[in-house]
Amino acid sequence: MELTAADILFYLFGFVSVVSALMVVFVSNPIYSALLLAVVMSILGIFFFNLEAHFIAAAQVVVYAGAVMVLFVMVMMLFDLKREKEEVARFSILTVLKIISVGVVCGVLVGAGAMITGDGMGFIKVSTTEAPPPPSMLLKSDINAPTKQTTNPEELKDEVVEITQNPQAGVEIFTKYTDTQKLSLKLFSKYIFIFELLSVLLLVAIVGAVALARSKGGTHHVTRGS
Amino acid sequence: MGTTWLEIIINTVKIAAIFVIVVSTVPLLVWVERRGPAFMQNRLGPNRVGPLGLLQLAADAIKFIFKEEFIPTKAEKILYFMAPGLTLLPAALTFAAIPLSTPINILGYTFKLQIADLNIGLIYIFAVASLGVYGILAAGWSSGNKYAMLGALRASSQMISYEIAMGLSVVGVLMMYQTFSLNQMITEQFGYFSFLWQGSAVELKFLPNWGVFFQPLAFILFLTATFAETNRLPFDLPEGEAELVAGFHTEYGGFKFNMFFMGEYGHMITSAALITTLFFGGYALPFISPEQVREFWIQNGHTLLGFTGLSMPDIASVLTTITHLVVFLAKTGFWLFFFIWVRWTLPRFRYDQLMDLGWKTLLPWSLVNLALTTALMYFARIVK
Amino acid sequence: MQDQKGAHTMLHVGLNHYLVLSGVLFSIGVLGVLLRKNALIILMSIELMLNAVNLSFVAFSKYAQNMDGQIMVFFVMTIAAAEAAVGLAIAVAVFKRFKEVNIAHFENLKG
Repeated sequence: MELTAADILFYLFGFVSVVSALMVVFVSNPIYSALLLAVVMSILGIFFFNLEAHFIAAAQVVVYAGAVMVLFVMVMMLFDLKREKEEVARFSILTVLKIISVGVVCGVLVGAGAMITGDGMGFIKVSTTEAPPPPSMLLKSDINAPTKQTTNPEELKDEVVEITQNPQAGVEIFTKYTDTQKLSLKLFSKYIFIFELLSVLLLVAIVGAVALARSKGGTHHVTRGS
Repeated sequence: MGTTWLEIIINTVKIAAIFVIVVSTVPLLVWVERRGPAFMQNRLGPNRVGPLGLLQLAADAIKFIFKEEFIPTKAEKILYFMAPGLTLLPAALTFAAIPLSTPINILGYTFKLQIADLNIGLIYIFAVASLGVYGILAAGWSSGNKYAMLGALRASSQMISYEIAMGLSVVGVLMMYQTFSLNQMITEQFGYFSFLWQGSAVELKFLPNWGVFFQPLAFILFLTATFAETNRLPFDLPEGEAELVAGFHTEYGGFKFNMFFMGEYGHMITSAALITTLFFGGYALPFISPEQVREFWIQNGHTLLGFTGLSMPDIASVLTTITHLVVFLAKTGFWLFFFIWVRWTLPRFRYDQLMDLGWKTLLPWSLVNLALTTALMYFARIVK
Repeated sequence: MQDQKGAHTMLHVGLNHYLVLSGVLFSIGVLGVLLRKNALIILMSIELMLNAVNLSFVAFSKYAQNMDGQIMVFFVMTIAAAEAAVGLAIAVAVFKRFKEVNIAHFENLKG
């Protein structure tokens, strides 16, 4: 049994995250739900770091646990809702059917996840010449990748062209860059259009949220008609 | 590939040591905060307990421990107990990624004076610092007190606004050094002020190679933003003593209040260390690279540590590390003194002035800095 | 289960473990959407589902040595954050008007 420290930490954090997610759904006070969801997201950040997606791990904690969930918590503190204990405890036939159907969905997903083989039953191209490097937990950084590469624009341009034109060029080029550099090489060459579109989407979201927040309301009187 | 037992033990010792150092620097800081500004204000600070009043903090700590632990009736008990820990945790975690000195090579082992040499060191720090909001929100809400809640909301919205300015102002530094790793950034700050202009190297011998000379605007913005992040004056409104009693920690007494204090000072220590690392060369001496320091110690080291019987390179490495640790502590100490100095000098911002500063001044200027850096790097071909 | 070189046992963490975890988290999110009546908890369960999907994307990206999974996560994260912001703004507007976020109160259109 070759359990490494990384494996033990995976099981530990996995257990904590599943328990926290269950508590998110079943705890009656919404603020505790929000705080537990922040815990789940931080643990997912740890998993991303374990999977050598360093930038995405940090972005997960910054965006989700540090901003989105803070927003949820602040909104719920302002709402000051009474505890709604009756919400979760109603046992009607509909609730049982819902739980059973979710159980079926869970079974299908878990079964599919457990049965998938190394080559994804032919759908994923894995470099079978060498097993993927085992994930290293928080005690060591990505020691195999040098931290700074050439930034000569001419050299990078050749590689960028090759990545955009040859989708499988990834594997050889990508072994010598850090994760952030790999992400940015692909993001700003092949997916640049979506990236720009995303900024427009964020602008739309900002305008929408501000417009919605300025709606009239208030605790003093109810206005008829706008 | 599990890590060996030796590495696990060394890492545990490092974590414990650095945590203890951070926590025990807090009393020293509070002492400086009470004596230093007292001299600035032409009065004496506490000077009766112990020599120069140094034991005043020990007396205060003991007093806090023995105070009555009360819980308000309307408080949410679980969050009320967890909130001080939630404030202390990010402050301690952030310090993990900051390199304190050069790595030591002793007896064939190399270990770094840094708990986690992440190659995403900088965003890790921002990620963990952004978790500091939860402690404040939990403290304010769980107290069951409307004024505490108001203070918590003000504090958290201030922290979130200035996180953005803080992150954006550093992007210029990132673009210049082209790495997130703090160790790499310090390595790039050795020696003399030099950069590549259109491919040819330019070097100015009268300036050190520090980040502040390359990115002065980013430095000013980052300094202001960290003042606001740590809730220090002049951005002190969440703890505004005249208005909200004590803000979000109104209903806390005794040891829990002490933990809030430690969290705030821990955050301050981390911010000072980060300013040193990003803009002032970290543990490096101004014009001398660690290699030269090591050469110096190889020639002169055995007079100091010859009695231990280690080999020459080992002694030189240990002495280099100690030198650089002292340099790092001196620089961080200066910035901590700067934090305290500003606190006792400037008046407090009003809340709307504070938010205006964060969104309408710091954020656009960070973008200007970003645009300027991009223009210089891409069009004028000035790179590091 | 995996019979790659080196005879890994079933307990050594591989792609399957991450996918199972992602599936479990996803179904817990679905459970939250179906069972809870508080609009904000439903929004949070949707965030949980999106996060579970992010986890499986990153796991696949690592084991197929392809960066496209992480790029997808980048986009999903941004979109989910924007959606959470707008959803919360709607919830705040609804609360201002009706003083309630319990979806059982908004069944006017029910046939």
